[in-house]
Amino acid sequence: MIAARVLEDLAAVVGAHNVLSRRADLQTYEYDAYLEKALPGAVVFVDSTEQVSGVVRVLHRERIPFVPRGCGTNLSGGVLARGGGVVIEMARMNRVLEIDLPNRRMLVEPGVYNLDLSTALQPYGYYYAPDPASQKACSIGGNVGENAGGPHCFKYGVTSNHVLGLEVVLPDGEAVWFGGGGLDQPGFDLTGLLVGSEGTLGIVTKILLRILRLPEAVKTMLAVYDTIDDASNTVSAIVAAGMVPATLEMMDNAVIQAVEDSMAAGFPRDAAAVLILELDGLREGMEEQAERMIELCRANNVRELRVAQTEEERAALWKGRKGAFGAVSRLAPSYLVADGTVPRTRLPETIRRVGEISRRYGLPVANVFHAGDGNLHPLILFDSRKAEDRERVVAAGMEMLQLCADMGGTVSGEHGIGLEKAEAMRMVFDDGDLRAQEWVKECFDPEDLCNPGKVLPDRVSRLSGGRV
Amino acid sequence: MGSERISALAPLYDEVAKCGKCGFCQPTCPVYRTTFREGHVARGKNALFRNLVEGETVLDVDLRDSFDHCLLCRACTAACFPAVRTDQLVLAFRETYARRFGRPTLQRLIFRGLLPFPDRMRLVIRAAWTARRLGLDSLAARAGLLDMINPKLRNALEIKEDVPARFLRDRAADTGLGRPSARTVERGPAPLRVGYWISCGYNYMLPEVGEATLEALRQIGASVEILGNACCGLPVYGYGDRDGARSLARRNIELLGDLSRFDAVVSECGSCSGHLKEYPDLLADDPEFSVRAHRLAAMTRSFSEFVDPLLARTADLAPPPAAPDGDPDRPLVVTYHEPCHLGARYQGVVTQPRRILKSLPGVEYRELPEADSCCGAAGSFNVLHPEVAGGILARKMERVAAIGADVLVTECPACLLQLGLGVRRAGLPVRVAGISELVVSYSTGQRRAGSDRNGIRGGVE
Ligand SMILES: Cc1cc2nc3c(=O)[nH]c(=O)nc-3n(C[C@H](O)[C@H](O)[C@H](O)COP(=O)(O)OP(=O)(O)OC[C@H]3O[C@@H](n4cnc5c(N)ncnc54)[C@H](O)[C@@H]3O)c2cc1C
Ligand code: SF4
Ligand code: SF4
Repeated sequence: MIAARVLEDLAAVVGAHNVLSRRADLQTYEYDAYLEKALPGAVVFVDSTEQVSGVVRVLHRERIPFVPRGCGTNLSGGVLARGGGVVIEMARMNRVLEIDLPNRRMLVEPGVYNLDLSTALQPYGYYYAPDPASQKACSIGGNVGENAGGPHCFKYGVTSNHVLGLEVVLPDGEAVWFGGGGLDQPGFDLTGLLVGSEGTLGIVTKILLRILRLPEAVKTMLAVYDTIDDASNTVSAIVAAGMVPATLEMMDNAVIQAVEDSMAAGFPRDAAAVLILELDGLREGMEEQAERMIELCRANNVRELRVAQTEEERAALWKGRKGAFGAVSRLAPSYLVADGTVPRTRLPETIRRVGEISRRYGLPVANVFHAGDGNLHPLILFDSRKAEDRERVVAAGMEMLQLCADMGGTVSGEHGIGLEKAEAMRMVFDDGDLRAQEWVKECFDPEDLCNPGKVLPDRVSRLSGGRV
Repeated sequence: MGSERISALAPLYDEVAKCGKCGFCQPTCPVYRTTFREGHVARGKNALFRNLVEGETVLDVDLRDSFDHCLLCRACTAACFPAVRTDQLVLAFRETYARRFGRPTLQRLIFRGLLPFPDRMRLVIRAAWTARRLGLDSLAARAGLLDMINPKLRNALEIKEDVPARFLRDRAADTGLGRPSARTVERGPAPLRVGYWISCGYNYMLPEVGEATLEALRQIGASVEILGNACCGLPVYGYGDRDGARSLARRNIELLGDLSRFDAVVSECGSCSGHLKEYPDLLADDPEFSVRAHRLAAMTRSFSEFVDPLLARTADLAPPPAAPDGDPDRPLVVTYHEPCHLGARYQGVVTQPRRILKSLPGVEYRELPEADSCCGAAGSFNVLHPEVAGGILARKMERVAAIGADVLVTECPACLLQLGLGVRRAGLPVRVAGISELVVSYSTGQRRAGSDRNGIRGGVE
C-alpha cells in the first residue's frame, strides 16, 4: 500500500489520471512473460525526463522502491515490483526524436517498439540491427535493460554494441548523460554498465543508437538435417572456416512440428533439425560465400537445402523462426524458456543432456537456438495452473542452467537474470565476484530502491513478496 | 460473493490459461495504442479473467473498466500464437457482470421491446430525431435512449447537421428501387434473386448509401426483395446479452420466412453480414432454429463478396468521374478501410472489396497502412469512451492523410459515420464513401462517391 499522501505527490507530477492504485488496475501490472507475480503498490505513467525525475524524487524521498517497465515481455521476472513498489510505465515515452543519417545514429525515447526503429529508418535505407524475436512487441528501453539479442546478433552483436549514449535518471532523481557520439568516450564506460543492468541502476529516458545501412544483398537458406549432431557440426564448421553469416539459427523437431501446425512455414516435419542460415552484405562475393556455406552443409550430411529465391520465401522462413516461441505455446498451456549459453562445440552433448533432464522431470522440451552464439533456449512445457508443475518446471530450468555452467558456458544468453536466475548467478560467480557487482549497485543505488531484488542473489533473499 | 455466477466463467478457464503473457497482442490493440493501459490489452484482460476464475479477485465494478475497453475487433487473437479468444472472454465477462448486477431497465426495454420490432424502432427513432430538431436532444441523450438503441445513432447526432427526411425502407418502397433492371447482364438463365438486408445504420442514418447498394444490385441484374428484418442483434450481443441476441436471431429468421425464394441474402453492412454468419454458433443448441440459422448463414454475402465475382461479367463501366479537383486526367486516388466484422478476423472478406476498387477505370488504388485496424466505432464503444475512440480515429486519420487519398471507401455504416467524423475533425480533403456508391457512380458516370446532401461524410471542400 502506498500512502494516499504519496499518491497525491505523484499525481502532482504526472496528473491524477496517470497514477493507478486500484487493485484491479494493479493486478494488470503484477506479471511479465515469466511465471511469477508480484502486486505493485502503484503504477505511474511518465511522459518526459522531467516527469521521471519528479516521480523518482518523490519515491526516493519516501524510500519506496520502484521499477521501470517497458512492454513487460521479458522472460525473467524483470519488471515485477517486489515488495509492493511502484511500477514506472515508460510506454508513453515513445518518440523518435532525431534521425541523424550523416553520423549514422538516431536518438529515441525508451518506449519505441524495437521493430518501429527499423520501420522509421527503412525509407532512408537504414536499419537497427539487434532483432529479438519479440521485436514487434518489446521496447528499445527494455532491450537496453536486458541487453537483448536476436538472430542477427551473431554477426552484428547485441544491444550493447549499438548503444552510443544514454540519458539516465539516477535512483535519486537526477538526470545525467552517459556516453555520446564517439565510439570511445573519455572516462568510465558507464553506458556499457547501464546496458543490461535490468533497471537496477537507473531509468533510461533517452537512447542514442547506432544505425546501419540496409545490406545490399541478403541470401537466406534452410538446411535440413536428419540428426542434431550434423546440424551442430555444420555450425561449428562454418564458424571454424572464418565465415560470419548474419544468422545461424537452429530448431529441433519439436519446434518444427509446432511451427508447421501453427503457420505452415514449409519446414519438413520429419527433420531432426533445421538451420536458418543468412548471409548479408555486398552483392559482390555473395554467391561465392553461399557456395562455400553450401559445401560445408554438404560435408556435414545435409539432407536438403533450400535457398529462398524471393522476398516472400525469405519472409516465410523468418516467420517460422520468429514465431517459434509462439508456435510452441500451442503445444501446452505454458512454457518456460531456459536461456543458457555453451561453447558451440558442446551443443550436441548439451542438447542430449537437456533431453535427459526433460525426461526425468516428465516435462517435454522443444529446442530453438541461436546456434552461432551457442545460445540455447529449451522451451519446457508445463501447465501453469498446476502448482506441482510450476515447481518442477523451475527445478528443471535450474538444472539446465547448471548444465550450461558445467559445460563451460553461462546461465544467460540474452533474457537477463531478473528474479528467475538471481540464484543461478552463484553457478558462475563466486562470492568475491558477486561482491564486486554489489559494489556497483551500492554505488548507484545505496538505498536499494531501483528494481530491488533482481540480478544479484543475496538481494533476492533479503526481499519477499513474489508469489508463484 | 456471487461465486455461483462466476462459475459461469469456469468453462473458459482452458481458453484463458493458454495466454502465456508474451505481450504480442499489445502493438495491435487499437485501444492499448491509445491509452497505454495494460488493463486494456488482451494480456491484461486475460490476467484479470484468470484471477477471477482462480478466486484472486472478485467480480466488482473496478473490473469493468478493463472489459468495457474492448472493441471486440479480434486484432489481439490474430497476433496471438495460441490464438486466445479474448473477445469471447470479454463477452462472457460482460454477460456475467450483467447477470450479477443487473442491466439498466432502459437497456432491457430496448433490447427486448424495441430492437426486435422494426415498426416500433422506426417510430421511436423518428421521435428522437424530432426531439433533436426541437433542441431536445440533450434530454434524449440523458435518457440514454439513443445510446441504447444503437450507439451509432448518437454519435451520428454529433455529426449530422440534418437528418434523413425519410428512412431507407420508406424511400425504397416509394421509388421502387430494388426492382430488377432492364439491363440484365449475361449471368445465366434467371436473374439472381437477392434478399436485401436493411441494416439499422443505413436505414436510419445513411439511406443514400442503401439506395446506392440497391441501385448497384439492380445494375448487375439481380432481382431484389427488401427484407423485413429487425436489428441483427450485434449491439445486444456486444453488451454481453447472449439471450437477447439469440432471441433477435430467432426473430429475424422468422421475419425472413422461407429462404428458398433467394439465392443470396446481401448486406452492405459488414457488421450485419458478419453477425448473420454467426447465427449458427449462437443457435447451435436450438433444435428448432439451428438448421435455418445454418441455411441463412450459408447464403449471406457481404455486398463486395456478392458483387466481386459478378462485376467482372458486367458491361463496360462508364468512364471515370472526374477527380475532385476537376482534372480529368488525374486518377481518382481511392483507399479502403477494412471493417473488423467484414475482414480477415471475422468474415474473411479481404480481397473482394480491394479487387472491385482496383478494377474501376481511372482509379488509383492505394492500400491504407493498418487498413484492417478498427476505426473505433465498434458498437457501444464510441459512446462509452468517446475520448479513446477519438484517439483511435485520430491514428487512423494520420494514415489516411499520409497516403493522400481522394476517397476513403468502406463497407459498414458505423465505419462510414466514424470515418466521416474523422476526416472532418482532421480537416482532410477526403470523401468518405460506401463501396456501392463508388460502383454506382462508375456505372452511371455520376460522381456520387461520398457526395451526399450535406457533405457530412466529406472533409474540407
Ligand atoms: C516470445 C518472446 C520472444 C523473445 N525473444 C527474444 C529474443 O530473441 N532475444 C531477446 O533478447 N529477448 C527475447 N525476449 C525477451 C524480451 O522480449 C526482451 O528481454 C526485451 O528486451 C524486453 O523488452 P520490454 O520492452 O518488454 O521490457 P520489459 O520486460 O518491460 O523490461 C525488461 C527489463 O528492462 C528494464 N527496463 C525497461 N525499460 C527501462 C528503462 N527505460 N530504463 C531502464 N530499464 C528499463 C526493466 O526494469 C526490466 O528489468 C522474448 C520474449 C518473448 C515473450
Ligand atoms: S493474449 Fe496471446 S498474444 Fe496476448 S499475451 Fe496472451 S498469449 Fe501473448
Ligand atoms: S478485441 Fe481488439 S480492442 Fe479488444 S483486446 Fe483485442 S485487440 Fe484490443
